[in-house]
Amino acid sequence: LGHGSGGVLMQRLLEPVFGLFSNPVLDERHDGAVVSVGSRIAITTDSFVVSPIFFPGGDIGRLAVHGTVNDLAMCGARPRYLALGLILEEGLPVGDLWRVLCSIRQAADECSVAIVTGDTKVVERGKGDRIFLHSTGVGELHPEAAVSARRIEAGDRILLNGPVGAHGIAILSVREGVSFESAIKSDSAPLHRSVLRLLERFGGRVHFLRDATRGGVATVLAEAAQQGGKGIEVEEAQIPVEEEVGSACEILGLDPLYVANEGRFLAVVASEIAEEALAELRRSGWPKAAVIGTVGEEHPGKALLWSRIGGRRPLPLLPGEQLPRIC
Amino acid sequence: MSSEIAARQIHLDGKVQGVGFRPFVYRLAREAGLVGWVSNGLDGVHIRVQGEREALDRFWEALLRKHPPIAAVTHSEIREAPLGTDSSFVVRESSQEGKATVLLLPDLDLCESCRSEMHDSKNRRFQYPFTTCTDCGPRYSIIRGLPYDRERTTMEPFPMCPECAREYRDPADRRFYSQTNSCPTCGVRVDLLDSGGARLASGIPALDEAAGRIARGEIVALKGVGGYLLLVDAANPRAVEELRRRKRRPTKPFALLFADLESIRREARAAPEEERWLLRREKPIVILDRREAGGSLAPGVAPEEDTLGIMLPSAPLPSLLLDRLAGPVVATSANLSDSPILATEREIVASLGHVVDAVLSHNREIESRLDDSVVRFSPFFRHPILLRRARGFAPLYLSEGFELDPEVAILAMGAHQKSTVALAHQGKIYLSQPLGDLESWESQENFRATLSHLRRLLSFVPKRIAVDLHPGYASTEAGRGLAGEWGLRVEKVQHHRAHFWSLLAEHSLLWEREPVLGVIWDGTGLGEDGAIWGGEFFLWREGRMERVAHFDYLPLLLGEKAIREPRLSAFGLWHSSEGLRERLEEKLLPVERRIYRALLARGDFPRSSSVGRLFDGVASLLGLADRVSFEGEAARGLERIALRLCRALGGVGAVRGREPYPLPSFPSGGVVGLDGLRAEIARDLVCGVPSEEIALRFHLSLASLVGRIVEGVGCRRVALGGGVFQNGLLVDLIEALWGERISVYIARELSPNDESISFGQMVASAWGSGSLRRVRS
Ligand SMILES: [Fe+3]
Ligand SMILES: [Mg+2]
Ligand SMILES: [Zn+2]
Ligand SMILES: [Zn+2]
Repeated sequence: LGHGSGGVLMQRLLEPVFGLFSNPVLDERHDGAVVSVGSRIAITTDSFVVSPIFFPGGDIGRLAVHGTVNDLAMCGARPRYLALGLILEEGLPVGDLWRVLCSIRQAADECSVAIVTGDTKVVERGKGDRIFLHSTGVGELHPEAAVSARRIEAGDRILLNGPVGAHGIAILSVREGVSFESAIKSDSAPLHRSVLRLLERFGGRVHFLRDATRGGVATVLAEAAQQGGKGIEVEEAQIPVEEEVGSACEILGLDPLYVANEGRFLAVVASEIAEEALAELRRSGWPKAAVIGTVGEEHPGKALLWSRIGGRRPLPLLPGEQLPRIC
Repeated sequence: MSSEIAARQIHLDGKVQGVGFRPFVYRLAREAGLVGWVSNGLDGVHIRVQGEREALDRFWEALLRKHPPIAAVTHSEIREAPLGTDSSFVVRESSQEGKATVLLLPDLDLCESCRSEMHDSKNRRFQYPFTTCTDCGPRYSIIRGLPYDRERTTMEPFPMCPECAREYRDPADRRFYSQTNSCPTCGVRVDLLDSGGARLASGIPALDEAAGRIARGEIVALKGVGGYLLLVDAANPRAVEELRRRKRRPTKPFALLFADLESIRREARAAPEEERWLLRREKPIVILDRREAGGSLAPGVAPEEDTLGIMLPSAPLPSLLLDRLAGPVVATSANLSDSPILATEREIVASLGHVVDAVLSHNREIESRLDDSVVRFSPFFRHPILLRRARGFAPLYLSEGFELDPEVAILAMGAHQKSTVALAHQGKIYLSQPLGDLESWESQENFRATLSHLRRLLSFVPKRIAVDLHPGYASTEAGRGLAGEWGLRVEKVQHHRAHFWSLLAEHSLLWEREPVLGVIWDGTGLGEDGAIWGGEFFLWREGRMERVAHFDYLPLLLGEKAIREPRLSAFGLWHSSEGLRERLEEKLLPVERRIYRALLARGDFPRSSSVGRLFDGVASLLGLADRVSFEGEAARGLERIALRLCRALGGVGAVRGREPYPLPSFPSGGVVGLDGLRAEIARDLVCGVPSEEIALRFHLSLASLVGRIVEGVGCRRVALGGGVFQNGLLVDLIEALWGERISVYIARELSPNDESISFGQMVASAWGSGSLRRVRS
């Protein structure tokens, strides 16, 4: 437990960490970080408690970077700085810790963000789950960005950047006994570059952005409708799902629209730019991006799904527990 | 001689509007030589009569005894009134004053007088598809407001021609004060449209052309009383298959519409009580045993089934169409899967334009959407079992044996599937037609629309709102929303308790001094302990309902998926049975096997006591259904093969002596263990015992358990409810085994399935607030 008390042991643990994340701000080794950014900034904070910590296509470290970077991106900001908190459970192999830290470093580099301050605590065995991460991000708002659920308008189109459900299934598939024929990899990815390209070109005509993490695409649609006070309709047939993800969901009785993603987002844009925005998304690394639906005045506050066989089904916010309703 | 003149003020309430009540009162008063008036109000019929005392007394007696047979008086009041100056007896303008308490009348089929006029070439209504009189025609489906008068129905856009108006004013005429009165000159127009909505023909030529198209194998949508039906020639296999393909309905049996009883008798065997139900004024679909030989129907009408769902026309339009055809037609509700029946031309063209070849429509609007009602009979004792209580019944419910406090105003929101709403209002009960499975937005919209229609009609302001315990039911959510709006608290009623409450009220068992056991076997419903219930035993004793036993909790692998896939129930029940390993595993892909075993080993599944899922599991194990396309498909398959064997053996009496599978009758800790039943079914299967034998023994085991538990808890009355008791063989076996020793109660006016949940919730709330009173008849 000695690592947590701030003494020599802690020093020993953290020394290489400083080295790993080395940058001028961090190298100051002050109690906090002093940085300068443009006039308007976005701040977000998030905790990461995924189990297992390593999974196909990623690990908790990448997730901690992407999650925070993406939350900044969804505000219409260019991510600049991260503050990182680590809570380690006693007994975590140093090799695992190192793997996670390297992964954080790599992801941060890929996203061009600097980790400028941090904190580490060690908790007794049984009081944590190997490793918990917490990251706070600061980003510079794009001057044209005006992203808010209140800006969603009737007539707007809803864009999605790629096939859904892979992350949640990848996590499930490394749980005991639940593996599928072909390995499904997490879709964890940074989204800020595509978002900034959209903002660069279309500015305020991008009305709303939201990454579809826990609760999946369906939950984001339901929230967007509720917060924006408009009616949303999406078409099941237009929402891309990779074949392996689809059949895994079928086997597990899950609806891919409610499965978590870590690299998927929805953009609600003015109808006149929908096609161009789609082309831009496809060029920016999302070849399977699609226009999945529209915003209307009907049924305000509700998101509905047009099923493949016709007829509409409301997309409720994911209930806490999935209990069968069918009699 | 007391020839003294007096006056009386009378108020009658109940089924007194839309039944020819004012004309009846008018004639009665005139015959008795009385003066005064009769008027419809929101709370029923008001009458003022003046004349000789003796004549007044005779009038009063006749009023209550000789009223039209379809009328029903639930409340009557007479008091002395001051003498007035009326010089004759008149029908007065309806009054909009007072509280709306009148019962809403269901739709009535064509009466015999109107039918013969329609077939009389010299009558001015010859071949007129909308002929009605005070004794027949649409009611609830066209009512927009109360009191019941033409201007508050969808007949409002059709002013009467002089000839119709004369009938309307003529006390001697059958159409005196008939609100739906019309004729070919002034009335509703029938049109034939193409699948894009363009008009092809009108009037009689439209009927001829529609019939011609059906005869040629086309799919024609017909505007019925409560919505459109899709019709095809039932004898044309290609047409039937085409309808299945276009409607994406692979196996669920289609209902059939026949012209008359004689033609029904050629295809099906109907017992006398079944024939009576076919002819009833509600004109429900009756599930009849199909004749083995001589049938001319296409096999695709009801694949696999030993039964046929058959009805007679409930309105003149389908009747006239059938007159033009050589045989029966398939008549299935026109809707998208899981959505309400379509009721406007716009909807049918937009949603089913690709399914239909033509549309036989008309320009009278449908205000309330209603499906056809469905009834089946238990195979041996011929108990009617209502599977759907809709057109012809809704929204009327007349309680027998109990009364509601007029002060109590309860809104009960019902279940999620087969949803209905129930209202307790001014001492009356209104029970809506089934509003479908609330998965689809369209069903939810129809649910909301129906609820607000009923509220507006009755100026209903609830003081209590009852909902299911399940937070995810769309009906529960809607109830919470309304409660929030009106500042009320919701009362949660557990699903299976609601089933039992419904039975206790229907049979006036609430005040029973002896205990009553409620055996509630169902699909799934959320239980009070978080498990999924559905195999429950409740004891009603001294005004309290206690859960005394339940079936053991078993894996409900993958939740809702298990409900669509009985193979998962089979796997969940028998996965550890070595002898069945191969049989079970061939139902699963290798990856499914691996994953499902892992989930079972980890205990990662909801737990359920559902008897519905037990039926599913046995049905799948016997190879009857691994995946189902409609609710109850697997259980029905199991009942079917068991019933075949039971009949071959000579009926329920003949199987009484057979050995049931072991089910503990004195459950330890209130849990009915299934180990013995599972082990013996597995053993039978491995030994090659035929499926029919296993299916029958399974039914017998459940029937035997019921009585043993009743006697075990020391009571003599048992009420059977929940979706499982749509199974007529099970009902009859229970009666055969226990009927002499135990009183068995099943749903009578209501359905055993979730349609009755709202009624049960309403009863629970009313009982809780002390608003129910027993009445002895
Ligand atoms: Fe139920
Ligand atoms: Mg976040
Ligand atoms: Zn009539
Ligand atoms: Zn007329």
